[in-house]
Amino acid sequence: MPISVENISFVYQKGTPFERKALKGVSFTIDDGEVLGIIGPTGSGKSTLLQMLNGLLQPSAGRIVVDDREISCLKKRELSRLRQEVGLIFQYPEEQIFESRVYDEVAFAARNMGLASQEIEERVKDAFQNAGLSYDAFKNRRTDSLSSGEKRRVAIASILVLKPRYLLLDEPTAGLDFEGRRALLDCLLSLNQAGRTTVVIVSHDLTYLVRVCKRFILLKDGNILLDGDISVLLEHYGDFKEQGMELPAAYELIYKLNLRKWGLEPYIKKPEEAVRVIAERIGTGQKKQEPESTN
Amino acid sequence: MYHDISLGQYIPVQSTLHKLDPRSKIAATSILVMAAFMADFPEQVSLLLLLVAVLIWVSRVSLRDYLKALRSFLFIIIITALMQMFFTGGENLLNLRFITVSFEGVLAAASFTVRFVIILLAVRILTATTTPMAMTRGLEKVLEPFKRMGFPVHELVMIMTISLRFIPLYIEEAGRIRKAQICRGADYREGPLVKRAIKLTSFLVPLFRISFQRAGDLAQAMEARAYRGGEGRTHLYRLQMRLIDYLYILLIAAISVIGLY
Repeated sequence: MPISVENISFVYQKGTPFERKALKGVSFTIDDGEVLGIIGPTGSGKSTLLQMLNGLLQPSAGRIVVDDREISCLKKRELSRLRQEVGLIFQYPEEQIFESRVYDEVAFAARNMGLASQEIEERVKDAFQNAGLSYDAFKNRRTDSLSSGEKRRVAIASILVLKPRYLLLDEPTAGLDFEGRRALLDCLLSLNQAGRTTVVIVSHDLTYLVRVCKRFILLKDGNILLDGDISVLLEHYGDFKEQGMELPAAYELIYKLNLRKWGLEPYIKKPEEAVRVIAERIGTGQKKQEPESTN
Repeated sequence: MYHDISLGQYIPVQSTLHKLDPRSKIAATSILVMAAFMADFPEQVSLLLLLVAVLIWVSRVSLRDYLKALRSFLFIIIITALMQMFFTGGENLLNLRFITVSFEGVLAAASFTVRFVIILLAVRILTATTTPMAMTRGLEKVLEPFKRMGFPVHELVMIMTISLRFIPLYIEEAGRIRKAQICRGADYREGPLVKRAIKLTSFLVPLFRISFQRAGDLAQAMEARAYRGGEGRTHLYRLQMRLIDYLYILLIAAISVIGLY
């Protein structure tokens, strides 16, 4: 069952000279099994929105319903139950690491749930695997001996141990190198495909989001500007390029060719696919003959 | 909850008080605080209270901010006032079974309360109308004479500036770590005390680590910019005492001294 966000607003430091509206009446739904990217410039309300989805912040107006439960009506116990189902990974999650052994760090959340030690161990093993870490190699490592990419994955595993059905991530790839970024995205994709986990990623970096997300929401100054798939993004690319958002070169090329009425399908995953799409179009003599069969 | 720490916070509005030199405000506040201690009750003290009320009006900061500052000291004020009331000897006013309240006691309590409120408000006016930066610059200037006695004024003021600058950052970071650990099921409010204390490590360890890291980074950044203490250091913006500053000090001093002798 989905998460539905109905006309929510959020005001920081209400009633002081520092009052600031972070969100101004935002509505959308997140379907089960979706991979949603929330994009937008700094200060557009992305992180605020994310923290409301698991009840860390309560909306100043409007309501959020997760599986028929309205968040603002939940009692303390129900709220912590909700937070197990809706796992939230903050920006730079490795900052929360406090145990000296990797195993203990990952097990923390499971222990807080009050599970039996056998169940904890199983969950920790799963979490390691889902985060792309080898259980035997890492369980006894000291947390301060890890590289930054490994720390990030340990921190993510420490949320995955909750077995959340919804996974919210705030700038998960910030500060990671190319390899770490790729590994992380692969892990998110496999969670989504194998585990049917709904994934919501907040970021201002579109270049990797287009690889994993099927749907995008563009926030600006607390309002939703766009909500749709890559074709919607490309349709309005001219507008949101002005907001400083940039698509990878392959998409930009398709956008520019489509401006010249090439009518290319934008549903590509890799630059090579863009090349193929364009080559096919050239091969058919720039004329629209039959529907494209690109995947 | 972490956003509600307006205690002592600078309130950015436009007013005559905001434009004054920090030194004159520091001097005037010091005079006012001393006067509040020495003034006679009730005549002079009420005059001072009136002065503070006028200053509050001139500062254009909303009354709510001042009341907030008072509210956080409410407990101390009440407890101390009650103590004064019960433990000051004199003519009996009220006789309950265990406690007696004297006329002098009530008077002492009222006197203390009003004085304390004056001092709190005076300091709040200073902090509400002066940016932390201006405040530290002003303090450094005011304390300059002590430099000759070998007192490390610049260094102390620098420490103060850095602390002031970093407090909001730490509050934000503490809030974020707390939230992140709540997402992992940490509950800092319920359960036996010992368990809660152990859980607190999940909050304190990251916070301390970040703090030390930041301190190290800052030290390095300062050194990279060739910072080497206050010796021969100049400032981009110089403080300038104007006529209105002297008038302000004079006015506050005059009202504070009226009737002292």
